[in-house]
Order: sequence, then structure tokens, then C-alpha cells
Amino acid sequence: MPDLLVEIGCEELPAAACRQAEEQLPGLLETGLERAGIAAAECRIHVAPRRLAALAFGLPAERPAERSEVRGPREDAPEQALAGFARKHGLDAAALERREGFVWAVSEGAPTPVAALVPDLVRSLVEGIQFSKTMRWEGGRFSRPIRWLVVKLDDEVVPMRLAGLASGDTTSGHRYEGGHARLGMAASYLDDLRAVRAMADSGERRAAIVAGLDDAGPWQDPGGKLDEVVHLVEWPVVLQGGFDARYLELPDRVVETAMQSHQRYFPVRRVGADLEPRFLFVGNGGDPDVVRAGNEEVLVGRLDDAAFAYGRDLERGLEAMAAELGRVSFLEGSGSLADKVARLAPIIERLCAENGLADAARVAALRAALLCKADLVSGLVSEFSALEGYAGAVYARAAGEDEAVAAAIEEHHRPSEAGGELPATDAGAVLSVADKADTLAVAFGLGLEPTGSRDPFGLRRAAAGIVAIALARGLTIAPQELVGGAATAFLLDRLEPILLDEGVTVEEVRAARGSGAVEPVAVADLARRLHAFAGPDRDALRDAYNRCVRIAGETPAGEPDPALLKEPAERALAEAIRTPPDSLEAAAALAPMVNAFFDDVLVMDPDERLRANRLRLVGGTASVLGHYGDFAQLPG
Amino acid sequence: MAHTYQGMLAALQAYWEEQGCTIMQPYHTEVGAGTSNPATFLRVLGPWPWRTGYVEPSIRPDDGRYGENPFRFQQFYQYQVILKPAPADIQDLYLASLQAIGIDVPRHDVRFVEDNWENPSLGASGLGWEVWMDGMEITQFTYFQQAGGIELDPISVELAYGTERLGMYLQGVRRAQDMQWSADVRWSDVLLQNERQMSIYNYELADVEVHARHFDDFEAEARRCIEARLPLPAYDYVLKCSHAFNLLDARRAVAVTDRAGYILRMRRLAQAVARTYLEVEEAGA
Repeated sequence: MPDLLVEIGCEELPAAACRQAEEQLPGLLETGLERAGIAAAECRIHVAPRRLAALAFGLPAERPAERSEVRGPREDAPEQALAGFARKHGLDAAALERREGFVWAVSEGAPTPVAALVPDLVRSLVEGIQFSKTMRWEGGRFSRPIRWLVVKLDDEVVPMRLAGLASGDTTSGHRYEGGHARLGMAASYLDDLRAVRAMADSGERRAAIVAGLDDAGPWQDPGGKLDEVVHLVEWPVVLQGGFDARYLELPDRVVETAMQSHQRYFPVRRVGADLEPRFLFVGNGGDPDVVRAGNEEVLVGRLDDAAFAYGRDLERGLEAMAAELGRVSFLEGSGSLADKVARLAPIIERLCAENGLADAARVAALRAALLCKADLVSGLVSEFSALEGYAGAVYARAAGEDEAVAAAIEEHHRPSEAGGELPATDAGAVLSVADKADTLAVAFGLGLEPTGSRDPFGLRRAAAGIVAIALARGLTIAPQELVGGAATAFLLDRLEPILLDEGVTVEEVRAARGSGAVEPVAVADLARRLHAFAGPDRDALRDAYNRCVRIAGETPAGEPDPALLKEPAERALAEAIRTPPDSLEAAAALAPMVNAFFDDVLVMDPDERLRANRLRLVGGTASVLGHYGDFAQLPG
Repeated sequence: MAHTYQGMLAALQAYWEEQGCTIMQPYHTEVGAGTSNPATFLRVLGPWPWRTGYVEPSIRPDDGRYGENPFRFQQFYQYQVILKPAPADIQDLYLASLQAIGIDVPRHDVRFVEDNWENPSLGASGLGWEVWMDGMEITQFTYFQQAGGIELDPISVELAYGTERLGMYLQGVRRAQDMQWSADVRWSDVLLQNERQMSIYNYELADVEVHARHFDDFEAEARRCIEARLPLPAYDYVLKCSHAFNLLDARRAVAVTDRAGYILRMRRLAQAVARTYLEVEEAGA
């Protein structure tokens, strides 16, 4: 039962590429084995910046022979045809089997040694990974150049070529402390690499990093850098550096951002206490004192930059920054950020009026709108773009603005991602919706809507943000006025992932949208009700609705004339729909009446007047029921 | 002085000379980075092998700080290396170059951290890393993928060393101004006045109308050269356009809405130069 070891040696892969490889390689290995017709007892994937490893344990020594039978010409075909068929299958004509009136080429096949199957399997791994970015080099195309290749079955190298390289059994360990080493069997892969100071498994590295950080103190990772750091090192060593406590006079988030953005350092802070004047970081070797001193120097440089920018911004003031927005363009062709800010006021007024929000919220949102983009021209944001919004809020407080205004400035960027934190205040929510709606309306007006996976202006995120806020706060937004017709559907499309997450089905979402409702809260509410109503009653309602719409396409205009309603079933139905149902349940209660109508009454009456009248009744019924959804979307 | 700035530059030069590089000198007109020097931008085009190394005074008017900031200047010295095609052991060659200037690499934490590079005015892009030494970025390491809008084959590797940072590190000083240029001359003796005066010119004095006009004139001149199938003089005028644009930018005379237009005009020129260069070289080859 041979074990397979594949190590693809690379120049430093980006962290994102490591994660993509880690996600995709298990499936690729499984598919590759399946395609090769062999099964492994166990598979393992290990990913590090300089190596991607795929291990398959307990493979069969060979793929068993496969019997094949191919039917040839009829037995009585000319001699020449039979000989030709036999030759094609590498047989003598005499070896052809004869039955059922035909000749057959039968081969018992030969077993394939597993070594012969490995090269294609390895190629399928390398070629199968879909990186978000790839580069070309002399050897081919990958995330970064491939520089060595280990392919072994047990202790034997499987000879093959890939990316201009020949397979071997030599790996490269830690770049400075490991050197080259011969790899043994798959089972000892992780140990062999540890011996040359590389932890090939990302889980092991993560555990080592977390243990080192835990030992050093109450570390924080507000920017979520740990996932990346795991793939920036092969032999993690957690180190600690210090800095002058005077930098702690800067707002905490500024200090944390100086540590985390770009440098990926971890701040230290006990719960409820102040930041400590030290930082933790993960090195990859070197003399700890030299490495610590260098990193301290770098952080002090960044804190100096931050302190300088912060001091100058405070001197300049948020109002002065806001006055400069006229020189910053928004989207090409839509004027400046000052123009954008000016467009927000009427949107805020309307949203506040429609939702009956308190005047204080309206006033705060209007004031915040004037200031919310000002920090884009601040020194701090140009140094650390992650502080956008936060910096504005800090400067607003420094300028003596109301807390509600400062909060709205910070909150108007939320949510920063799907499922992210939402604005906590009414003013922040309204400003956030207004800002995003303006972006959508302008972008759609300029023909900049996203195509395929390209969404350079973040319009999907903006639309998803509006929908998330509207749903969370029950905010009426009137999307057709807010973003315009074309963007309304785009906006409502963002409901789908939210509702699917709750367990509502795609069909139910579509049915709800088919009701003609465009208010996100109303559409979501209907979709949820449709979902909760799933069952025989909903099925009956769907069937009744479908019977109506199937012929309602030919409906003449107008209301049915009561004088022309002769049959009891049609009179009953007309009477029932005169007061439209006020709930899904009430709509479903109409189903038996609809069915009775279709069973008892001939809609296509030879009398044209009766026919037209009945079609009007059917159309009216469809429209009354359709108010609760386009039931034709529901699976039958 | 064990590590003068000039000594470090000479050591880098000697190292890359040993690797078979043609040692070039700085270009004679302003460039924002060593990449814009024709010894890089044009030489990475086409199939012809090329290895070069040179110091490039990189002129970025908007980075000037009147000589007061410890590491921001309107002129800084990059050491630029191009190896075409990129050899398979390029990372080792690079690390050995650090050793050659006196950095004991194994004592440090030297890492290759993803960084992808793009220059929209030149229609150029590449993938690679910024090289960190103990958290400090010391070199841009890039596999060029495209220049002048043309997909490159073979792929060149570019190393752009930040020589001031390396020099400061080697001398243990915190301000470039305090670096020993030679045994008895400091950086500030050589360049401080230049930083002060150029910052004043770039931010306060440069005549916006003159440079806006220059941009238009240089662009027209570049076009005439392209039509005459003279890509080398054409490229000089692209560089002059680029510097005129940088000056206008430093004077805050480029409305944000105009920026994309300027960049597009330069990119079109750079693309036309790159195509013409290839045609002319291929015809001559």
C-alpha cells in the first residue's frame, strides 16, 4: 500500500494564495485520485508560503486491469473488414469472439502501476488551483514561480516534469536556517521539514503563534491579521517590542492601526485597561535582538507619522477639511465630493419624513452629512485609509460637535462587509442609507453598474448595506425614488443572500418579489410569510393561482358585470374577491372557491359577453391573489 | 567609515557587475523611478536578453518636505536591477547582494511579502513582493508582466533598492540627513540645499501655465517622433510629459477629474512608443 508525497516548492506565495490552495487542494486531490481510478485510505494537505504538499496514504500498488468488449462488424462481413477491425484492437482476426451475429474484440486489459498514474495526478493539482491572481515566468503560470518539485511513492521518486522542472526528493527548508534536505516517506513529511526549521502545516503554525502570543500577554487583533500572519512565516517566533508611552496619547485606534496596517503587529491590552506601550509580532527567524530593534524602529517611524498627521489635522479642523471637498472627485463625471455631500440633504429629509424619525436624528444626520467626507482629505486617513470614518468622528468631537453627529459620521461607513456591524443610531442609519443610495443612483446613471465579478465601485456592497439597514431597522426607503428604477431591482437582488441565510428558499424570494412590492422590508416580510406558510394550504393556493394566470393573459379590461354572473360558483367567487383577502391565510381560503369556479363554470362560453365577463373575473382573482406573491414561482 | 553611502552604492554596483550586468548611469531627464529609465522600460520589451544595474535619482516633486523629514525627499536614489529573463535563483542572488553590502542576512528577519505593482501612465504592471528586513521595506521585487500595454515574454525581474533606508540602517542613523556620504561628507552636505530649493520650486514657484503648455508640447513632440518611427526620442518626450504632470500635481493644479485624462494621454504615448520600439528593433534585428 504505497504512500504518495507531492511537494510543490514555490517562491513566497501570498497569504491569499495559500488560503486558496488550502481550500481547493483537498477537492482537487480527491478528484485526481478518482479520475486515476485509485482510492487512498487517507489524504492530507499542508500549505506554507514556500510549499504546497499533497499526501495520499494507502494507495493500491496498481489500478486493476479492466476488461473491455467492443462490438465490431457483423460476422458475415467481408474478410477485409474483420481483419481491419481486429488490427485496430491489436488482435488477430482469429482472436475475435463471435456471438449474437457480430464479432467482438475482447481484452482482459493490463493493470496500471500506480507510478504511471501519478504524473497526471500531480499536473491536475498544479493546473487545477484557481488563484485570484496569477503571474507568468519562464516555467509557466502560477501564483508565484515554482522552483522545485518532490514526487515520491514511498521512498521512490516518481520521475516527471512540470513547470520546466524535473521531480526529485530534495526540499528546501527555512530560507536561512534550514538549507536543503532529502525528504523521506510521506508519513515523515512534517517531521522531515521540522528538521530543517519549517512548519509545513498551517494549523501547526497557527497553534504555535497563538501559544506564543498567549504567553506574552493579552494580545489583541482588531484588524484580523492573524490569518494572514500564519502564511507569512514558515518557522514562527513570537517576539515583543516596546515603544515610548507618550505615543499612547494618540487615540487607541490610531495606535492600533499604525501597528496593524501594513506591519501586522499585535497590540497588547488587558480587558478594560489602556493599551500597553508594547507590541507583539511574529518573526521568521534571525537574531531576536536584532529583529526586535529593527521592528521597534519601524513602528516608531509609523507612530511619528501618525502623531504628525493627527496633530496637523486637529490644527486644521474638520470644517476646513470639509471646505476642500470641492477638489476631490467622486465618480468621474459626477462632480466632486462637495457635490455628493450637497445631494445628501434632500435624501435625508425624505427618509426622516417617511419614517417619522425624531427631529434630533434629522438634525444630526444633516449636520453629519456636511462633515462625513471631510476626513478623506485628512493627513491621518491618507496615512491610514482604514481610519476613514473613525478619524472624522474623532475630529468632530474635537471640534465640539454633538456626539450624535460624531457617531453618525463614523457609522455612515457601516456595514463595511456582508454581515458587518450596522449603524447604531437613527442618524447614522439614515446617513449611511443616503450616502450609499446616492452612490448607486449616480453610478447607475453613469452606466457604471457591475458586470460579472467586476464591481470596482463597490455597488453590490453599497446596495447590500442599504438592504441590511432597512431590514434591521424596519426603515421604509421607497427604492424607486431613492435609487431609481434600474437600481431598484439591483437593490432587491441583495435581499436574496440575507433571506436564504434565514432558510427562505430562492423560489419564495422570487414569488415575493413577483408580488410587485419594492419596499425591501415588505418584500422580505412577504417572503418570510410565504416560507412559514409552506404546506398543503400554500400548494392549494398556488394551484388555484396558476389556474387563473394560465388563461388570464387574454383578460379584457374592466370589472366583471354582476348582472352577467349566472352560475352560483361564479357569483360566489365574485362576491368573495370584492373584499380582497387581508392575509395569506385568507387568500388561501379562496382556493376552494376558485377550484369550484373552474370545475363548474365554462369560462370559454360560446356567448362572447359571458366569456369576456368570466375572463374579467379570472383576471381579477389572479390579481387579488398575486398581491401575496407570484405563486407560479413556487415549485409544484 | 566602514559603510559610507557611496561605498554601499559601489558595493551594489560591483556585485551586479559580477552577475553580468551592464552597468548604466542615471538617465539624463527626470524620471519618477528607475523603471521609467529606457534601460528598463524599453529593454524589457521583446525577446532580447538584458541585464543591467544602475543608480537612479528618482524625482517625485510631491514627496518633497523641504529637507525636514528624515526619509521623505523629492529626489531619492534607487538602485535598479533588471535581469531578463529572470533567473531561477534570483531570490538567492538578491539575498547575496544584501550580504555584499554588509548585511548579515541570517541575523535578520528578511521576508518576501506580497506586493503587486502597477504604473498606469506607462501601461506597466508586475507581481512580486516588497522585501522586509525586520519589518522595514528595503526593496521592491517585481516580475514584470506587462510594459506599454504589451505582455512581456520573456519575463524580466526588477529589483529596486531603497538605498537611503539601507544606508541609514548600515550606519545606524535615524535621519538620511545624518548619513555619511563619504568619509568626511554627509548626505545633508550634498543634497540638503537641493531638497530645500527644489521643494520651494515644486510647491511654490513652478509656473503652472508653463508646465501645462509643456505637457501639451511634449506630447505633440512625442507623437511626431512616433510618426517618424523614432521611439527613443519619442520616449524622452513621454518622460518629459510625465515630469511636467508631476510638477502640476505638486502645485495642486491637476483637478482630480483631469487626472485620469492626463494619465490616459501618457499611457497612450507609452503604448505607442513600446509598439514602435518593438517594430523598429525587430526590423533592425
